[in-house]
Amino acid sequence: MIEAEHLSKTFYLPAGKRVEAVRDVSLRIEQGEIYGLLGPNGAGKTTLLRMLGTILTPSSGSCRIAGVSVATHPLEARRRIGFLSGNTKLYGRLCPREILAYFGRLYNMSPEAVASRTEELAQLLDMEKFMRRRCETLSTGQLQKVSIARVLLHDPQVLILDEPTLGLDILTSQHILDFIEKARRRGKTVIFSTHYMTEAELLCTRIGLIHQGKLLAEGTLETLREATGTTNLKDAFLSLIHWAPQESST
Amino acid sequence: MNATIIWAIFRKEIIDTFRDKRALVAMVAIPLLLYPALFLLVSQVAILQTTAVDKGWSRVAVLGDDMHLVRNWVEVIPKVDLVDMPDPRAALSRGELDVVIVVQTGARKVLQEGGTVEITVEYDATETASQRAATRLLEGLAKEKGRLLQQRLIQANITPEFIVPINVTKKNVASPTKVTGSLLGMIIPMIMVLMVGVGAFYPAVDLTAGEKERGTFETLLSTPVAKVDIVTGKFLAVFSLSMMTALLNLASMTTTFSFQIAQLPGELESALTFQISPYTGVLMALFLVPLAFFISAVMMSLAVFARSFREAQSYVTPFFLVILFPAAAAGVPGMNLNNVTQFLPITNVALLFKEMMKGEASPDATFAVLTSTAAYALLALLAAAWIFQREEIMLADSQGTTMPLRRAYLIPRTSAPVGLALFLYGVSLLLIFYLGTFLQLRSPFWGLLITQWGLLLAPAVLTAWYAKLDFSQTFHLVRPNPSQLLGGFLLSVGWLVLLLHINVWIQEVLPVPEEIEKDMEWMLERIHTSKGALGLYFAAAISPAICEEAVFRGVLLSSLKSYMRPWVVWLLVALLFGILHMNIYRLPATFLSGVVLSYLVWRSRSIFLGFFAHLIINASTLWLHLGPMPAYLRPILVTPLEQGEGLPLKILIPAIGCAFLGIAIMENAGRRFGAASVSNNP
Repeated sequence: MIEAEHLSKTFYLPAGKRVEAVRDVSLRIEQGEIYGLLGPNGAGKTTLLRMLGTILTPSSGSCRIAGVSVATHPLEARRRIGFLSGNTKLYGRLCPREILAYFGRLYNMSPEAVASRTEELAQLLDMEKFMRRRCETLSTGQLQKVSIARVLLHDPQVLILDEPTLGLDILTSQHILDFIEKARRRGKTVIFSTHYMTEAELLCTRIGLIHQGKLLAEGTLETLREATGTTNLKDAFLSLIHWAPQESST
Repeated sequence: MNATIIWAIFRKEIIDTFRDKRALVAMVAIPLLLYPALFLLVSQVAILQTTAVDKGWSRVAVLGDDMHLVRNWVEVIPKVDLVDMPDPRAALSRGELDVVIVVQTGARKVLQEGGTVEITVEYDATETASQRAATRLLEGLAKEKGRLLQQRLIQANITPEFIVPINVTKKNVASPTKVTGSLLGMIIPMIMVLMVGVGAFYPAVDLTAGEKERGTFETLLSTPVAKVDIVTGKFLAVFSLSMMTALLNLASMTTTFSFQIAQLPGELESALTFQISPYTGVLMALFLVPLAFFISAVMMSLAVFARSFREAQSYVTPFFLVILFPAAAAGVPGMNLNNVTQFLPITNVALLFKEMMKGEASPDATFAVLTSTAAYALLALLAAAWIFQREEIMLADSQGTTMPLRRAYLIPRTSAPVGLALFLYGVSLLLIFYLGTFLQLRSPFWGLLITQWGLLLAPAVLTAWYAKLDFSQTFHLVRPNPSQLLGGFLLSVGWLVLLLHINVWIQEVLPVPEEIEKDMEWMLERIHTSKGALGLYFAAAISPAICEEAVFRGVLLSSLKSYMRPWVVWLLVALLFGILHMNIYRLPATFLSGVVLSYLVWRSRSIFLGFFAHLIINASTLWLHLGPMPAYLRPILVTPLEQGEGLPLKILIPAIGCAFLGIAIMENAGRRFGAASVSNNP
């Protein structure tokens, strides 16, 4: 479960300016839910997900991951999270097997547990062929599979995925979307951001629309369509952004 | 700190680096090939030159009317070839001759009449061969001159001793280790800094900025690992790789030298004083440790700032070049370890190395050098760990600052974060190193006051104010209850007596040199005569009790106590307290007293107990030195201590009892704090 209350993040620019990247966002995502985060570039999606993933400290507000407060017990919270973004790359000079072994140790797993989990994930994700090849020699799709394995390794209750299908071909994308759906069915809590409306329509139990750091609207696909009087998510998205009050960040 | 995690990070970084071809070339291949190649080049050129000049014969022609006479003298000179030429002077300028000897006319007659024969050796100063020939001839003819003089003396019936009223000889008494010591001491520190720097450079940049550039840092930050553990693991990897490269360099250099020098012709071998004995080799290996520790720490903390490998290189390279100067400075004749130089980074290690080579290093200087080097390295590491906490530096794509340092944006805290507390300690330590010792030499009284109030208390109070720390929590400003006061008093008095006794033991293991003792007494004496007893007690008992307690039992204790086990906190605070006194002879006593003081404040939560105990210890020590002492106390307290016997049992046993009673009262006085109070804090 993810609970966020009044999360804000302010950046201070060298010239004395402040940028409010995320403003007063409150979220509550239950177990077995897939929450899709939509929004234009620079809307604050990544900053919000980074705060939930304990990579960034909120300027104000609080969040709890599976009941653990991120502010007071960041390491405990992190143990319950699988975090994936475009910036969580893999060590090029290590092979997938070594990377999983390394992260297993960082998550304080026993070597036996790491070994059996590695076998399991390698089969599930169809990675057996390249488990002993250095990551720098792998393709984008193969790398994303290793990243997914890295995220699932410690069997986290919460998955935070920042654009997990970015730059992947249709086949690999589908593979990864299937995984997200499987994870939901096993009772995980998933939040992910994307630019692909179809992905969100297919997968998400609820959708949140973020614009200029604020959560403009959230709800199921139906409620969003009804609220905006549109027939699909794309139109709902455009209409919400169009009617949002425009402000310049100061 | 989690040892398993640190080890995992360390191992992964080492494996990762060993798989990097660029790193292997920079760290392993170059040292292994560089020295043999360099040495081969230098020695071959040297051999070529010396053999060409030394083995070559000098071609000499004689000018004058009595060639035969001079020929006899010249022919006995080794490696000289007499040549007949039509125009010798022209041949000399053409380079066909090395030297022309011009003898005055009628030489034989002048010689027989007891006169002086004038001989000129003409040579070409721009030609090495010609110079060599001129030297050979001058030496040879000087021998001939001596032989002729001997003959004349015998003819005149004079003993040879008659013309030598005084014989002066010069004799070098320096031991061979000292001679080579001073020569090597000049060059080797620079070589060592180079070796360590080359080793640390690549991993320091690659493990920090390189990782950021490759985008793997956020992956690491998403794991449940404390940033301190990441910094420590990475630092240990950089340090080990740097040591490995440096030792490889050292091994390559020593084998090259010992192997190659043996193959050189005899004359050249003795000319090369640059020989590395096994002792020097071992010493160098030992000294690489503090150098690698310091250089790795600083290089890493610089590289962390950068977002890319290239940017990091441009930060680290200037540092690498700059540290060669302090290493070279140690080679300047007359530079020695003193109160100032022992605290200069790099220079102090180089100077200590030089003194070790000469066998002249003193334990207190060694202590000062090693502790200050460790302090600098720790400061650099703390800086690195602090930078790791700063999101905007660690996340490559983030915009602007997220943790502003302006006071208005800071969030109030109950006590200082560990990093801030240790940083404050480091700053005070440096201020005292450089400013405090200098001021105390100029004016003992004011120097001591400025050190205590200005360099210790003021930074602590300012930091607490700026960082919006809770003053009563940070400085433990809590009124003690009467039973705590009683317990604290009993423990302090009991401990004081024990300390006097323990000091006798310490004195046996680590005797204070007379010089240092005299310096201390001189300081106290000067304050006493200029400011009176009251001034002395204020400067040496009351001020330290207030200021040192505020820093150690205040800021440091309140900061560390929520992160570590109680006994670790006592020991650590006491060690930091002991080190601040910057005197290895006082370290055991100050450390032990520090443990007692830390315990008192930790248990009572009140700084006042630390203050009173500190005052009792310092004031009593002064009183024992200066009096006035009632006559009946002298034989019990002062005489046994002065004679180095220690105190009699009839005093020690009550003192121990007193101390334990004090601890028992403290333990039962309630108001425990530690884990329980931390969770209550907002």
